[in-house]
Amino acid sequence: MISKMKNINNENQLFKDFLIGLWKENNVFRILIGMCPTLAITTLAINGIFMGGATLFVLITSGLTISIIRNLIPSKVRMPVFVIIIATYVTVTDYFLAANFPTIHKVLGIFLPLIIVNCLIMARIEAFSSKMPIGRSFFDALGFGIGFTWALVLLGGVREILGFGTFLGYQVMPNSFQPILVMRLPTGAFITLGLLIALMNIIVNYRKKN
Amino acid sequence: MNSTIQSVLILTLICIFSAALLSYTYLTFNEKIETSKFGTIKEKIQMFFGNEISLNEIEIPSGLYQDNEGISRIIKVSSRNDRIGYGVIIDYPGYKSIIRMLVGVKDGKIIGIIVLENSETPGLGSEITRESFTDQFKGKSVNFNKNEIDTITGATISSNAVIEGISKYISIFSKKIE
Amino acid sequence: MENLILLFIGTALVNNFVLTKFLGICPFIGVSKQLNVAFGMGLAVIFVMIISSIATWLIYNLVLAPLNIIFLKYVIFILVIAALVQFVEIFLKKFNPNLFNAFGIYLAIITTNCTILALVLMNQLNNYSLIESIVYGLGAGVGFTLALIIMAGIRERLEIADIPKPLRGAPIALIIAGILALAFMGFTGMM
Repeated sequence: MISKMKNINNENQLFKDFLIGLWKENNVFRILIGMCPTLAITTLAINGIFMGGATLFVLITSGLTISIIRNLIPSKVRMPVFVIIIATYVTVTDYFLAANFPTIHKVLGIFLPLIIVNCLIMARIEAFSSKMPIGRSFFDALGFGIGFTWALVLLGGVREILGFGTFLGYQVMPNSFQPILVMRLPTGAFITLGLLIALMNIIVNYRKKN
Repeated sequence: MNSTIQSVLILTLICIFSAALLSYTYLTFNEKIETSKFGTIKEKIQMFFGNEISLNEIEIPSGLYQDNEGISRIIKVSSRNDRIGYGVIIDYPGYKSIIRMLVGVKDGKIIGIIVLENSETPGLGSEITRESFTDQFKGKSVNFNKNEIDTITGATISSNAVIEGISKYISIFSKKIE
Repeated sequence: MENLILLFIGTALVNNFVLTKFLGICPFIGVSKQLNVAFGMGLAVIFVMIISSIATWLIYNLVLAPLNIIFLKYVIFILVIAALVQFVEIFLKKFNPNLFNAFGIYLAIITTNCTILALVLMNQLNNYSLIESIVYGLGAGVGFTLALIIMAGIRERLEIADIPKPLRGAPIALIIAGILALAFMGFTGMM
């Protein structure tokens, strides 16, 4: 009986770990870390999927690796160890995409190696993977990775719909729609993200009141 | 265990892990990357520079490509990590199509050119791919005089396009890059 | 020489790292609230950019390329940047504690500042010589500082303005950044 309860608790815990990155501590709209790729990549919704996917991969691989060896890393050298591991997996992703999906690689451009300094990864490793067992680390990484991805797709989606009239490549606006060119430019990125964050603030405050 | 020794040990292990994983990654994917980036262009560049070369595409400074003409790619050619020259891909409008040409540049001279793509008049304009025409460029300085190159009879516009395109953009290239 | 000046101006204004290339957004939003703080951060970034350009150029061209281990580029570069920042911190602490305190935490977070890593990677992608790398680093740093200072100046004024609650903080900063980016686009005509 007790072991059954323990199993359910474990699953609940894992599920909770997964959920946190999705909304409550969503790094794009709530905590605001890992900003650079957020603005640069999101001219199209599909780019959000590419960048989010790459980041998710690095989150999971480095998170798991560090979680496995977490007890062996003396506190003094944890930064170099984390950085080396993250940089290694980013390099792997870089080569893999360059070889097999050159279009994705080109779209991500310099922001692919910049995943190394994406504060999101370091933050999750520092706060979680370096201290938690692999099960929980995995779900934490998964949640934050997917949370990052959907935020990018949303931002990219808004910019794509308004800037090109399409979403994920499919025409969604009527033919008479005049694309709002500024959405394709840096200006559009900044303003859209600013407004989306404000929107999220409103939503969170509304839920708090009720 | 002494903390410093443990630190050094774990760092060394991580470095070895990283180096091993990355070497494996490099060996697995590098061939494919070179092919997808450069494809058949690599073979052509090898015709100019020899086989033992590695290629690196460099970003084109802005303003060198407008309205379907200009420098579309700049490929740095290195042999044993010494830069030995460049492969420059230039587009220029011909009689009926945009002509795409590869120019090998080394030490301020044109090693040779290859016309990569064109849809000029078959039998006339398309003759610009012939070595009898393209060989004329071998050894010319990057600032060569257009009069030094003979056009092809019956394909004046197409051959002039090649001459003009290369003359204009290779001199711009050598000013900006070299 | 003319080349270098164009490179500098182009990087600082036209291809501004923050407003055109989207690099360094985190410190841009986070540190641009006060003018003197922004200025200090900017100076620190300029300095780190220049020494990182030199160090990574040397390592890439004298070690990585000849030994054919370019695939270690990302790992080595980030370690070099981190090490440099550490040394600068230690050096400052010892010889100029005032400056060290002025920089405060900013020096440490420069390591994860994507601008530095992006800069050193672009130096090598663009095939710059050592001098060009240094000028590029200088231009990028100055551009970053410029964007930061303008932002800080505006935000200091905003402190006393009445902004709707949801927009306070990051949202309004981003919207301003957007307008700034629009303004900087005017520079493209220069080139």
